[in-house]
Amino acid sequence: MEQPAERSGPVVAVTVVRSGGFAGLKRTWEATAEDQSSAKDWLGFADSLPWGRVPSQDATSADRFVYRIVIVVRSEVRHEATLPESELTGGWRELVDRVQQQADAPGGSEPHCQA
Amino acid sequence: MMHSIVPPYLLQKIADADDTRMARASASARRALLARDSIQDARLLSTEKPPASRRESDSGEPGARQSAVGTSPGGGSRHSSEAAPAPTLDRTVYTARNTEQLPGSKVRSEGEAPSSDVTVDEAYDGLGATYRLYDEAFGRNSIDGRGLPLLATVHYGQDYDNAYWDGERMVFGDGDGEVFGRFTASVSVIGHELSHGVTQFTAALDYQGQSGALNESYSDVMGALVEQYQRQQTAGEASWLIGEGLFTPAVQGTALRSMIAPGTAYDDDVLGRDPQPADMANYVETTDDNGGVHLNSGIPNRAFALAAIEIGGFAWESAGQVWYDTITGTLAPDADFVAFADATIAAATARFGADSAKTKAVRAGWVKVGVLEDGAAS
Repeated sequence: MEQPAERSGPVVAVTVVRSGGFAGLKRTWEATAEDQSSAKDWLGFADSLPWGRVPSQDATSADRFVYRIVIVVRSEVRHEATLPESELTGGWRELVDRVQQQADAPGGSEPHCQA
Repeated sequence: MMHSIVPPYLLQKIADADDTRMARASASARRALLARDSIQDARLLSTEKPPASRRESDSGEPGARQSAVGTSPGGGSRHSSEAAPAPTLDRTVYTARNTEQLPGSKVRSEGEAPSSDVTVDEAYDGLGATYRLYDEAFGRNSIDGRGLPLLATVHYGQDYDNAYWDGERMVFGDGDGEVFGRFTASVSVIGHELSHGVTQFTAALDYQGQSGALNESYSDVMGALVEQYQRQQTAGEASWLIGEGLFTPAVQGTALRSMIAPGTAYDDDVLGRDPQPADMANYVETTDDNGGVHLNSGIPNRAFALAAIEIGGFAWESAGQVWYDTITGTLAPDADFVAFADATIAAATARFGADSAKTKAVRAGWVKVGVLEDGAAS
């Protein structure tokens, strides 16, 4: 059952934190949905992913990136996953790509630093 | 409608920097995500390589575990394996042609003349420099101790801001040109990546938490020693920098890491300050980066550099030998900093004697960074 959008704060916030890599630089991208329509579109895609059923570590590689993805709906965590770069395929890659595209769009943000 | 936001502290930092350097960097980061399936496919297609993860002690094959402990204290730096085949250097460099398909196209094999591509030749030369350190300083025949061919792929992806070890080969991106240049530019990076292979075939340190930080640190140690050996630098002359020259001139920093002064390699308006801790008092607890393996590696890195400088001379003949003896010894895969420190003191004792200046310097290094308490080491 959808609830009316609150006037303050996003309906959905999606955060991607990339850590690791040879340089060990942490980088964060974030996108938000401010209205019910885009929130529904976003969650329809995100809910289809196999949260909780992906390996969190890459047993053979070193110096690859690690991705932490957090989806918050109305200030409550709906999904959270940590994936090694080697697992970022299919829908996961599409999810991250979508967040990064939003963050990189005109008017978006380009954070490139450590937390 | 979706739109992007940035945490306030980042907005402020970027606003203060008034910097537009990151446009290409962001696009390259997206492309960095497209690598996975091709690697898995390449592994399945490879039928002539050994299993990706194997300790020498598990295989029973000749390697380096016999190498150090128990040999003559203060002896020479070379100690070859009796049963191992004659050392053979066999390098092959491929180019991914800015795709994410591995291994890519073969562009230079062992003995062939230099190419017209500086990246290819840097990778080829770096493989050779790393091989020579392990062979000439430690008597090790390639990363597995059995002459395993050394493989590298360059020009991986588009503007890919990374270099990594995939269990069989080194992979190098060209960088985005704004923050990073090509990752073959520093031989310390090549030595670092190949040394992940050595660890894979020896101690097999878990890539998580403190054991992961030790895995990273050992690669930094050997990456630095490859550079020092190539330049014939003493510990006092060395820069102790990892990845010097990888940043573009636009970045305020000299390297990715400093082993002697962790936390000082860069301090940039956009990238922020080098976050590596220099001692246990500043140990970073985090779930990112496999538990901060690239952060807390600064602590054992500094312990090594302090010991090497205190001992003096060529680091590969003293502290480097001890670290090599340790990684090829009986270290547990989940070893923490204290276990590793104790193992280095045991290795130094076996090789140089308990009361030797070298063993004392190794112990002092670990005390200085807070891993061991003064007088508490074994």
